[in-house]
Amino acid sequence: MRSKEIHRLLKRQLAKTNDEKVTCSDSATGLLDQVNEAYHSFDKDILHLENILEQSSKELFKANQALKQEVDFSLTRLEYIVKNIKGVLFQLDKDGRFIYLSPAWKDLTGLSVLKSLNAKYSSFLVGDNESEKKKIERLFNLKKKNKQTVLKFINQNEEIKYIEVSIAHRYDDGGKSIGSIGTFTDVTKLKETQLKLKRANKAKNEFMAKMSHDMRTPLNSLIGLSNLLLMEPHLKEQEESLNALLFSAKHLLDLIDGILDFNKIEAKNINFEKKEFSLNYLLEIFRRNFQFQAHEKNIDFQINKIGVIPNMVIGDSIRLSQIINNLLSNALKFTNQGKIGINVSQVSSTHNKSIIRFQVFDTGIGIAKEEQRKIFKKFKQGASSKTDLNPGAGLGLSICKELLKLQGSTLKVISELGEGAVFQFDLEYTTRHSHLASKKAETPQVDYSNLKTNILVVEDNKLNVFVLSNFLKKWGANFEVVENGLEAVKEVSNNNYDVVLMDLEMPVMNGYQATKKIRLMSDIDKRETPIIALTASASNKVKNDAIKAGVDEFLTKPFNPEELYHILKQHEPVYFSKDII
Amino acid sequence: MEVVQQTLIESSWHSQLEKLTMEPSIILLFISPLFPDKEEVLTYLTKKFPKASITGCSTAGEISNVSVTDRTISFTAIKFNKITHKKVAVPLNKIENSFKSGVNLGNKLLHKDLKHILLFSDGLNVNGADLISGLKSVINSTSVTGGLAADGPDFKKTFVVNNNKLQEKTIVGIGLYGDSLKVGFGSKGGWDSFGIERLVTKSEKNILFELDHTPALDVYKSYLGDKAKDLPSSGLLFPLSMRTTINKEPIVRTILSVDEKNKSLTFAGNIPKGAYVRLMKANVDRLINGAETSAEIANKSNNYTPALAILISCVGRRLVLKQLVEEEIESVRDVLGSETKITGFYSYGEIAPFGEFSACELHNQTMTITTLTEEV
Repeated sequence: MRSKEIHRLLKRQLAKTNDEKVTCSDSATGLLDQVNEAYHSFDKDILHLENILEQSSKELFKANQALKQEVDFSLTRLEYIVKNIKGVLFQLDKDGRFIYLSPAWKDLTGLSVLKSLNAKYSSFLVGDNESEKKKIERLFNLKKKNKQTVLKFINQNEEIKYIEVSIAHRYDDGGKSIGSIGTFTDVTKLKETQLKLKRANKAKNEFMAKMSHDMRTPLNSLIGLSNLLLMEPHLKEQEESLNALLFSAKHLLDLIDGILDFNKIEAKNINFEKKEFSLNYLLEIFRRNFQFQAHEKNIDFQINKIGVIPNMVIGDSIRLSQIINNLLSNALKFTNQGKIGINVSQVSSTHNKSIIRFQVFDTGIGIAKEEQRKIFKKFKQGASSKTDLNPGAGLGLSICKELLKLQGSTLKVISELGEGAVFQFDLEYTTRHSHLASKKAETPQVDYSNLKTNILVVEDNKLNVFVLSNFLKKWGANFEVVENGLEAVKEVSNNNYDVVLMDLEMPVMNGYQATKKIRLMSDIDKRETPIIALTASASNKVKNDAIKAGVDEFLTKPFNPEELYHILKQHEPVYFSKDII
Repeated sequence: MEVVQQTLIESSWHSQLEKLTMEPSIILLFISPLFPDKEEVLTYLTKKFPKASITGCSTAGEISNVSVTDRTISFTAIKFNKITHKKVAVPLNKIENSFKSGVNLGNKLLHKDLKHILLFSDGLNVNGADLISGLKSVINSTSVTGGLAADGPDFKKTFVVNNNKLQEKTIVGIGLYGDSLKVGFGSKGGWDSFGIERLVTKSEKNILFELDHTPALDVYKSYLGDKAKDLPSSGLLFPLSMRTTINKEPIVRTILSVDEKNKSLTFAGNIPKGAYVRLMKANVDRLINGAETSAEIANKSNNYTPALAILISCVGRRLVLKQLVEEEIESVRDVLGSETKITGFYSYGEIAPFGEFSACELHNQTMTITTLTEEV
């Protein structure tokens, strides 16, 4: 063998063989050298592997120690955080039992953490708190992953706590529930503030409603009297002043209505009527209201019906006219030459639905692009209106936009500075076939022929009585006036009236009570006497209450003389001649 | 395509070459640094075959047919019928210019008919990864295979063959042109990573200074134990598996040299800071399986028998396989069949495409196989 160092295993193997042929032959030497080398090299390989094993073990041991330390450190840090956090952290198992509660639990509930662990969440919602159980169960049943609710909880110390519960459900890879984690946060202070605010807001709304009623009463007189004066013979030079008086009063009324409406929108207290009305009739009213004013300013007023549009539709005509009135008033205000008007067209229709597009246009001063977003904001007006002598409250467009938004529509403006403006919106209405059209479809006629109606006026406000009496006298009606509900009941039971005009807020007995009493009378004719509520309150609630009490129709003050006349006319007794019977 | 393949040995190389009658287009020579008459062989060949392009490089073991030898030359003469070729050599004066040299080489070989590039580079004075990046920036999707020259287990001096010259600091590339060329390639290792994952905390290009804030050389020495004295060659026993992002497939990097003063290690490819590395180990059977898989990949799309297979296997594999080293060549032979001529060498780095999306990458610790066939 050539190698100096014979591997110990080979040495032993050769000694055992003890065969000269093997150890000394030339052919064997080469083979033995290779075997010897392989033995040595395998030894080295084993050492090498052992070293790898040892080094790796050492490193893994060290890494493991470091990890343990990190875990300990993280745990301590977490514990510190959890201890000092104000809310409660909790963990529930899949059956809803608390398996972890942070120390803040005791402060919130007055209960010990140790005693509360392993108890089901529902076991805390008993007695006064039972009603909140459903809320929590719903929280568990929702398919959403993260959920939140606020509980009202009366704790051990009889304190009311509002607790915000946030919960996140956890699932294993197979989608099976493995419990939940979440937080309880004491939001009592926040909730109390919220409640206070809600109460304050309610008080504000009530105050606004009251104020509106109180302001409408004198305005009613103002407008009524102006109308009366205009109807009576007057000097030509007085006409302008009278018109201005009427306009100012109406304007004041619009402002009050605007503020009220905005209040309602903010309180989300707006209901839209679904009543049949005639689009043609409504457009005619706009023509009458605006044509004159437009001509006064030497501008043209147009109503363009484009293509076929349905006449009788079901929807809220009052809100529609409010929006269009507002837009037309603006158009009139900002236009000094050219024309203003409305385009009406049908965008689409199915067998009983129709989408109508309204465009209020003008050739006025227009609105610059950068101003267009601002004009819809509360109490904002177009830049140019600063110089206007008669600015509004800046609520008009904002109200229009909100009213349309609540009906699922939007108000678009197409305009450029100096190029006029178009305000456009689409509204969907249910349509009726024309043979069902009501009498309102006809163009209104203003023909104040003498009223043969026998009327009882129930009104405590002297000014209102004065205005109303003047109109009724002018229309040649028979009427009696009483000051409160009690007198009204007496009057109805003693005499025969074709119709009662009933104020609602009155001393001694109010209009609601009086109406109820009349509706309970034994005489069938008296019991069914038509009652028209006449009130300065414009709210839906008042209207609904009045209808509940039994009134047949509802008019708000200041009343539109024409409308009142038409209603009274409808209640005129009909005398049939014998040959017809 | 005609191929003559044989092992030239010290005592008989002259008579072996005298018998050769063909007119080769290309002669591949994988020369042991220990072979005494290197220059004489080259002089003889350039004289006898003045038209042939002669290339190749120094080795850490020569592969001929199924044998692995030292102190020999693995000689292969190739004659193409239709395929044309172009040999270019570019100098690599500074290791920092590796990228530039790659660009330079690519530009010289680029042509619309270019089908494949065979590449042999100095194995020590090069940043293989940069060289490949430079080349890739020019040649787009053309495939490239080849290897880095080796110096046995010594890591001292390597050379490439450029016709009648043995050159250090040089890259030689042969461009193969024409549709009749069919190329196959595969590159697989068979190594496994083990132990904890380490973060590269300090490095500069292909020089690794620190792993987890510990000098990289110390980590290596602790794992090498007694074999630390054999560095850098014993470093081949611990290649690194490196990934630059969580989702990327790890690639293997192997040691080229060590620096005791800086306690740093120089690798055949870049080791960026922030990458995660693990040490790797191998055993004989897994390496042999790796070679077999590599052959299967190289052969997979071929329904023909390749005329020539060039096997470039890493020197690190030889250190593990030792006396069994031929088994990995035999496993390749079993896949390719007995018709294919086999040549090759043990290298300091292999070059081959990586998957389907990259024309070429630098590999370490793999058996990289290139098969060449000319369609009739």
